[in-house]
Amino acid sequence: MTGTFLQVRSRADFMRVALRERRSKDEKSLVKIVHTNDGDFLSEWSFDDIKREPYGIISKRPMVFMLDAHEAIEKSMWCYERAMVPLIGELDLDIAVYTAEKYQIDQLIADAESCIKLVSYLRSRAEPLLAISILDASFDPASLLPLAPFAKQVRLVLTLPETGVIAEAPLSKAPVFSVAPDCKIDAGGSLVVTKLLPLVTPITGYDTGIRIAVQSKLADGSVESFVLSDN
Amino acid sequence: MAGAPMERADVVELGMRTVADFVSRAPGDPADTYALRLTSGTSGSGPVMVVRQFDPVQNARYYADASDIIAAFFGSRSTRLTQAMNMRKSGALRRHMLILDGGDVTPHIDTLLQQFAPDALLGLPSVMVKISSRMPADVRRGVKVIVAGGEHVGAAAQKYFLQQYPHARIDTFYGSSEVGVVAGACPYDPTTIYHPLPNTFIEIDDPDKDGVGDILVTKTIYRDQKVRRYRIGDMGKIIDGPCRCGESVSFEVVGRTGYDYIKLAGAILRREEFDRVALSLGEYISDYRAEAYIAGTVEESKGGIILSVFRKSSVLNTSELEQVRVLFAERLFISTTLTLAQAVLKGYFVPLEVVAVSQPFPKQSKDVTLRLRPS
Repeated sequence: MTGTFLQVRSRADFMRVALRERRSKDEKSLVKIVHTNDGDFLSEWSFDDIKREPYGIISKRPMVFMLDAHEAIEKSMWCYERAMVPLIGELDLDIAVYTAEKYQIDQLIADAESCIKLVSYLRSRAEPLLAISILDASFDPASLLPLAPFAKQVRLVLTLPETGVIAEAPLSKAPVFSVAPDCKIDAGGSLVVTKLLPLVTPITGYDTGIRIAVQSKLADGSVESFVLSDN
Repeated sequence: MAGAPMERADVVELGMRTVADFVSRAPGDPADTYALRLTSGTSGSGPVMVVRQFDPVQNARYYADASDIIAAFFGSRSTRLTQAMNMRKSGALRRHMLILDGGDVTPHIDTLLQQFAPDALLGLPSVMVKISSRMPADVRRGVKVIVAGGEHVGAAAQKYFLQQYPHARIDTFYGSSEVGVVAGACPYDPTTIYHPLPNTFIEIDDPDKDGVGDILVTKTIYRDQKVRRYRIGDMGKIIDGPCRCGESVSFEVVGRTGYDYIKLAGAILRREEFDRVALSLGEYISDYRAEAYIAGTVEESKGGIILSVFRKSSVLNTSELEQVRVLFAERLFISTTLTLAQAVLKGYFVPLEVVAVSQPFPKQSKDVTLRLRPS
């Protein structure tokens, strides 16, 4: 660990502050590159921290299918940390479907775009999956509602690569998100999140830039539930 | 060892059996022991899906000296995931791994590599060479170990690494996605000589007069499922006598069958030799692709080579193409004593054909610069 530790409050800080200056603990970890329209930055997650995130559910044969390779590997490692052997989907859709069929997956963890690509495969299955967990920073419920018959539950998991899970909602026309465990949300103009357990780069009062409309609050004034705003 | 060699189709079938077995009766502690692997590569046949067991003992040696590690991408995501899991299972308390993807090579990569400052590199040597050009010099000086695998590490690549990473030792491993690591490199000659891992057997099938033939592998990959005399797709030779490192069995990997090492019309075409000659003609050649083929009739078959060349500065004109055609043939050895030009005079080969291309060759995860045209 370095002697100097600098707090990050936004993505601009992630880009401005070098990784070693915002590493609050030194554990075995995966480092990933996060690509944004404003630039790229490194985000580091210890395996213990990855394990704590509620990315999916417990099942026997999960599949992780994500456009971003870093996210795919990290979420697959989450499966391993939760004692599941994952199928990590290759980008080639035909190969991904082929392997999903052979492995007889029972759960899907994917981003929204990747989920939609698998609709034909999901429709062909004799049994619904135990769960589909859609990990993303924004959701278009209308495009995702067709997934509903393909799993016993479809979870919309509001996630940023650098914060992990912020909140989740069951899929519906107007999903209402509940704040994730070990998360605290304040809302001013946009969603400001604090992860209560210390991450490698702690997320404290972190402005995500995500616009929300608060539905309910907790006794301490923090957000309990919200919907995503369009603007 | 008896029995016909297993071919790739046999391993595809074996792989499916491991998957079916795993699905039907998952063992007690699956996450700690197993991984789903999918192959990719230049073998020209379909993917192999297989459940394989981790080998943390073998992989631990690669992380012994390093704390921060870059894993250059290996092609398939399942391979990258296995690297992450291997690191997870390695003994050290603190390790940081950044597994790069092709999409990461953006204008920002230099800064990010500077931040991450690896002290070890792990992955495909061809990819590491590409990434090296984006790694600041002070970062490269901090690299202590380079572990290369998944491709043959030729003399040119080894020289390049030693120049670019002056404080790094080079280690290699040999294997494939479908069977895992088969051999570790000899510490005395880590890019040429390999020693089979425990309970892994290596044979050479149908060796030529130099002892070179197809490498056959026998090892257990999953529970009681073995690949037996599996023709892994590479050519090699057994090295007689015990190694100076103390190992009793040694072999050399010559290259990928049909790509790095091609037997044609009594000649041996080696990609390294093509690389060497292309480098010597650097004023004409920035990059090349060579295709070997069987020319002539069935009764009198000869070898043929088509060389496609790309020059960054400008497309070669007719006169320059002729220069390349003559010089390349004069300089390219296709046996220990015979050049291509001499082979043409003797009637073993048809004259070299050279074609200029105006665009760079498309980049792939494994650049195949020499290939044998299927007959």
